[in-house]
Amino acid sequence: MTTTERPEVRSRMRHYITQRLIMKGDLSPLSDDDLLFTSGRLDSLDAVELIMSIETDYGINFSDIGFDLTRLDSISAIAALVQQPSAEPA
Amino acid sequence: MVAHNLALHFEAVAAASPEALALICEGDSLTFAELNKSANRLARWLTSQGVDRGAVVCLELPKMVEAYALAMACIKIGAPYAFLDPAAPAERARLMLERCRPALIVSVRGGVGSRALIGDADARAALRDAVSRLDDSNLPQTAVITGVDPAYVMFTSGSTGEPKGVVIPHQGVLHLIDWAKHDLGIGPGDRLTNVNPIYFDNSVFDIYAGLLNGAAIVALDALKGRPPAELVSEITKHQCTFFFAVPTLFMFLDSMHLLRPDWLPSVSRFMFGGEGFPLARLRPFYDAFAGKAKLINCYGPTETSCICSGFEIVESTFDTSDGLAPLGRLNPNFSYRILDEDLKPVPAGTAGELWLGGPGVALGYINNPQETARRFRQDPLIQGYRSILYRSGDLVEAEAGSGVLRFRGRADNQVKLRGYRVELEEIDHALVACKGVTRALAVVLQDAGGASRLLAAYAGERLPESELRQHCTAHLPAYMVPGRFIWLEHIPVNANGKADRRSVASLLGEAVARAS
Repeated sequence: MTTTERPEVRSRMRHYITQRLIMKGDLSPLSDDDLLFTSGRLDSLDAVELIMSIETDYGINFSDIGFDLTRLDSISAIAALVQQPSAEPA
Repeated sequence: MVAHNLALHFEAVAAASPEALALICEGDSLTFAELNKSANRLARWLTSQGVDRGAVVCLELPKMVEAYALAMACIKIGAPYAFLDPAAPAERARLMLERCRPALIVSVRGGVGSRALIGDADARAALRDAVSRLDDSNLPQTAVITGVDPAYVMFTSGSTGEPKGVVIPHQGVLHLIDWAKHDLGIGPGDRLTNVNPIYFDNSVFDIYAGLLNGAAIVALDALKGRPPAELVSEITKHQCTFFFAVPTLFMFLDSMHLLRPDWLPSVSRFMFGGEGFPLARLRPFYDAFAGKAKLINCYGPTETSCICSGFEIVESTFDTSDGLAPLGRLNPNFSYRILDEDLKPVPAGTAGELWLGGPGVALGYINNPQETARRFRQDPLIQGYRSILYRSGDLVEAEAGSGVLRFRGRADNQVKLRGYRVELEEIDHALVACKGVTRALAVVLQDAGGASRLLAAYAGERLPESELRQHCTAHLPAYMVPGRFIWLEHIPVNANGKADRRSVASLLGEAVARAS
């Protein structure tokens, strides 16, 4: 499989995360570099959903990144991780 | 200290150490004497509002000083209280209130029923002013409350589509307190976190195992919109020694690099329960605190007074092919049977359904005789006299010799999501109530790390996901709203014509993978 186009990954993640924030009543603007978990805008409940969504959609295994959520702490960070060659789905 | 009800036990603690710190909440600190006096005044106020022994009081409150003081006030007059989530969808709150038939609702929001509102500063001040003139001495009628009187009602998900209110007697909690003292060493000088939501079963442990053993409790709001580092700093600032939460929260803090001795130096015991803790995620937690703090896995359905077993994690815990930590041996005063589908005891080393007995067992589900009769049953091996067991639905296996229980799954469709107990049928019912949906099935997919994801399949009219999400959000608490909704032309059925949840789960697993 070829590398997913960066803009597509970003826009999909942005859409997904914005949806979750809206569900929580968080309507503040969100930039690609804003911290999601460190800031508290997303919580443990969102973490489970986000991780499993990335696992199924992009074939990334959370255990392979040492269960390190700080590597998924912004839209930019997620986009970078998803596009690492080792993270490509088989 | 021997007392036959929770209130007398609390009063004995308050008399023994009146100046000791009892509660830290919203920046306020209350000693045992202050909390007891406040509870006494509120008990008299409740009585003046028409609340008698046996009447239910609903406390639809966040973690505020009044919430804790009102709970103590209720147990003093023998009026079981029910904490309700003040953010619960109105429809769900209505169902819970209908079952409770409360004599009074103390709430921060308006709604049906006889309510005392303390939602804003003025209303709170008015209540404080009204009760300040009342007598603050212990009430004589407290002495007549017995161990089998109801202490509280705790709501949990129900498979019929509506939550069930579990009624717990004083004696069940007295045994929990005793276990916490002897097995966990909780006593004066300890400080327990109350991070668990107050309307969630785990809070029962925080409040009673703490306060009634002379320890202080620190009310903390989990993570709602605030940085996780702030929660951890607050636990350390208040010098908490005992931290009880669901595995999901500990795993979250660990994945944010916050579950470390340098962040939490005062905690000497961590306890988790409400859902299984995957050993792969427990390992780094255990290693980080080895020699510095104990880790305890606990187990217990809401129907058996919060906790019925505990297991201290040790190095050898990880020498197993099991994915989860053991549940441990049952606490003193619990009896149990492990039965097969024909209600016969299983041979040693075989999994079967756990049936629990003893004084920790609930009195039933409030105003719900049908569900009570279904789960609280006569011990099938005893015919000569009455012996009621709670049929847990948990499949367990007992280790020969030690009696240590290990979890082996569920006999029904109950799942645990972030520690909350969820009957999948409750979600099915909510979805089918959405216009255009003819059939719906919620399923949980699990990943290798043990994380669970909630999805829903539906048939009927194909609807925008946002509409389905909105509908669910209006009827269900946030943790019960599926992450994705997948339309299927037909919901697969089994040989009996019943919707087949297992087939749907595998279909959805494929559908989600394909969508990427």
